[in-house]
Amino acid sequence: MLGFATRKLLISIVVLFFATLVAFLLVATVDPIAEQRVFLLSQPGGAEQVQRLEANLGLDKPLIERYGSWLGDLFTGNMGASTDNGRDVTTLLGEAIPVTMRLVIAATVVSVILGVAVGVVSAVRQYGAFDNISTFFAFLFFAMPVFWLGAVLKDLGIRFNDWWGRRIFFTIGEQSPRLEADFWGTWADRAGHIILPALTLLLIQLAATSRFQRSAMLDVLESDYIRTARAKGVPRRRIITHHALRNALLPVVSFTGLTFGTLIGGTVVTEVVFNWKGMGRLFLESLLNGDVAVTQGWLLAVGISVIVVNLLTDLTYGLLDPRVRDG
Amino acid sequence: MADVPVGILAGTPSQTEARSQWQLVLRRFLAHRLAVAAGVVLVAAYLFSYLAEPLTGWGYKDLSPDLSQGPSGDHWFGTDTIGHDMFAQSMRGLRVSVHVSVVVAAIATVMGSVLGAVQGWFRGRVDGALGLLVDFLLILPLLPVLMVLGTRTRASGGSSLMFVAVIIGLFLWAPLARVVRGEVFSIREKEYIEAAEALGASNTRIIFRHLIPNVMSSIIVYATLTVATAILLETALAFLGFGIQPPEVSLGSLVDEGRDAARTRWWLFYLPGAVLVVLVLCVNFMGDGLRDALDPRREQRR
Amino acid sequence: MTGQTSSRAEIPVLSVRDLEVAFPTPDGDVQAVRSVGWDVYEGEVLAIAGESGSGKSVSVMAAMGLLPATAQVSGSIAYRGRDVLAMSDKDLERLRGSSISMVFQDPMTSLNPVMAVGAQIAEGVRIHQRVNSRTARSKAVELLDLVGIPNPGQRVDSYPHELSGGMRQRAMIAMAIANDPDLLIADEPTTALDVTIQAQVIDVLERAREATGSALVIITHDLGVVARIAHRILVMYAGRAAETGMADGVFERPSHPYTAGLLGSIPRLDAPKGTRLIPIDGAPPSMLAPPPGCAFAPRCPRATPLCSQEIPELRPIGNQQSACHHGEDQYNEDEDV
Repeated sequence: MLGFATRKLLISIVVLFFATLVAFLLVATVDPIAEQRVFLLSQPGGAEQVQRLEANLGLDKPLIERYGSWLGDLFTGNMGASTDNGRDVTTLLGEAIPVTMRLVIAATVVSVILGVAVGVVSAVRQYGAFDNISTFFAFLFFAMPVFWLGAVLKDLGIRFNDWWGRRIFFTIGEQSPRLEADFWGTWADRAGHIILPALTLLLIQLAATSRFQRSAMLDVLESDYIRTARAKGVPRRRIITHHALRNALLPVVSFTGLTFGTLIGGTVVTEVVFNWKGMGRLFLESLLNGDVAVTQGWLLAVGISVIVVNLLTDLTYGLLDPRVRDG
Repeated sequence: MADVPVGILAGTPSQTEARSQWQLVLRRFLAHRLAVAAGVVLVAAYLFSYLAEPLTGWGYKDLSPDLSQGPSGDHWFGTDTIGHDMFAQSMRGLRVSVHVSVVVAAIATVMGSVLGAVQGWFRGRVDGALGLLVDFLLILPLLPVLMVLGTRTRASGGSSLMFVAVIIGLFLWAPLARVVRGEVFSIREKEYIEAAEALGASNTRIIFRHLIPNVMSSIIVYATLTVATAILLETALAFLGFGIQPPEVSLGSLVDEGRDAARTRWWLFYLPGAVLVVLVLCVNFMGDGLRDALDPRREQRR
Repeated sequence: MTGQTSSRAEIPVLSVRDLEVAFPTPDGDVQAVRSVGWDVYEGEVLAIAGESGSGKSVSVMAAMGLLPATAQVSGSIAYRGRDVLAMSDKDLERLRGSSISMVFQDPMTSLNPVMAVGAQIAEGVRIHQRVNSRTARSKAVELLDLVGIPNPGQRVDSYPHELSGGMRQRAMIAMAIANDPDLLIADEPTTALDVTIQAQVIDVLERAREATGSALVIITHDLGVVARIAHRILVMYAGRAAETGMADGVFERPSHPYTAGLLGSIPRLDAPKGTRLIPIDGAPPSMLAPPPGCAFAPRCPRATPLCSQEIPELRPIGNQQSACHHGEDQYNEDEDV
């Protein structure tokens, strides 16, 4: 297991370096002065001004040199400063990440637990009422764009509040502005804010996870070793909990890692819909302002989180499956 | 003698639940009927998007003097604040989504099948290098990456359709490549492949004439899935402002413009969104039906 | 109906009568087993032979209660006089693995890949015996030793992928005899294995049978594999019994052309030099719509118009029983050779 973990860690580090390159090249396609450029070039003497702007931003240097200096700064913990408001990228990320983490963790934990449960019950009672109903909803939510589902839930939340006569669901922001409350009050307020955005992400994630778990479980239930366990006289319940589930969890573990990137995309959209001041908003604003330092830092932070999550799922897989950790 | 289907012999506890044969038959029939119906709806809706203007008299760019009207006989989906006919706009958005996703699916399918077959056929280093790329693409957060690339559309304006389709397509081939690679691995030892090789067929010929045609059913199923993913990505990009730009219409931007009016002028938000959901739902149903039809062994567990 | 061929007087361990099994499919019912009966007695080795799909596995799966719920089963299967088909799930679970146990074809896929083999053996012990996990584990070590796995104290913690095919099948056998069953069923136990270790695994099965005193049913498509240890043979074709009798007799003088064909496709050490192996021509019939008369008629060298009209019943010919209209001719031909 130790060798397996070391190997996976080394691969992750290589992938991380690759990711810094990809993040850098991606951002190099963004023109931070796109708007000024069009305007200035139409003015007399604008060309020199454009050149000066480019020199200020270091755009006149070759790509490789810019990459090198960015990477060098990264090693010293310096991710640069926002060209929009001059604040440190590390500070901006430090503020945004905890907000987004709440959303991502809530959606992931609930969708994995529910997804496994729904998938297993659906498979064990294949074509039963529960299976048919969950299939219907899985198809429905699987076809829903995150931005639309989010906006629908937001609208329904507001309508519910109106009907109830009290604000139950908060639909704007991650917490109430200027909230003065104790520890529990703060978290209660956050909970009221997180329900609808988390529901948005988790319904779509749940649709995929439960289908995936169901089909993994059906595969396993048809396998020879389940037949062996039955031939041994293992009771049905124990077959499901001790033999089938453990094997059927394997594909779902890697599935969770693989879909983490999609979840990040969904989070960006959800934060936009519900006006959260998290990573999504930070990213959107950096793109709209041509704030390349923030965009680069953001991509790197997200890249690291994706790599870490995939490392964790790989290690979990290794713990569950002896074939993988030896192979 | 007729082989008893393996699945039936390897009886599972799940099958001890009452599930008589006619239920299975009915279900299979229903599933396929659904897929057929979905296909019909899809084609009809696409063709209808061309009939919308002659039928209703409103084009997607036309401005009506009726501002912010609810659905009526004249404006089936109502009008927005400046008098656009929402039905014409939604139909235009549908057509754009279909066009973009077909281009995406074409790019992703060709790349995925060829690169996957190359991996499976040559193995070794080629497989290793491409495999790393595939692994990387599979975990890549696609939407943020496409947003960065999509910043260009903001400056370029209406001609962004093809650009959006190409950037999405270039990132969506990895899942298919992985599947094709796996299947090529399992068929490369088959006699007909070995025979072709022994007869001196070139690598190119083996890949295009023997390997890819033999994994066609997976390719078709994945192409359909890619269409659905492409529609969701295209509309999400447009929703965020990094995809198709006005004056061209995307269902994503329509939802974006309508969402603040969800309570007061519901038709601006709910109707384009419903068109989008129905579109994706139809594509998914078709994909599911195709999968069942093309791989009957899997039918049991769908 | 095979009872008479045995000289023993005791009650059979397992007795199958008029068994019919059909699987509904969208294209119609697949009649996997059509009116088959057999007995197996204490300490006896019965080989059930036939091509794949002849219904040989299905009839033992029915005895284990391992058929899917969609299977339509009629007839009777009695374990020491108790009707297995009428048992509750609970009773079946008690029966399986303790009184009747089974070894499957492919030891690679038949062992749980994420459980150590020792744990899989110990699980079977603990389900049927009131012992603690320590005892179960040492029992697993003992069993691994019995089936000839070297270093059982270490191997007990090995995962299936760490063992060779032959070792895995030995572990399967250890698992099957963990609770001293009365009846051990081995379904094509050597088919997935390398030819060189097939004989070893058959030896281990025979040793396991001797150690537990159980009866042994071996299902095979290859009569050569079981020639050494089988006492009696039942040959099945298209869901029916084609021929049954004492092993020596069936090998010496088959009374059904199909048996003769099966034997003809086995290399024999005592065959005259230059004798060629003769494969049986043609393919088995569709079980969706079996032909009217004898199912083997389309492939049979002795077929006459009668064969494709009337289903031959099992009847005594010599020391065997044969379901062939021309059984005597076959039986006598072999005498001449």
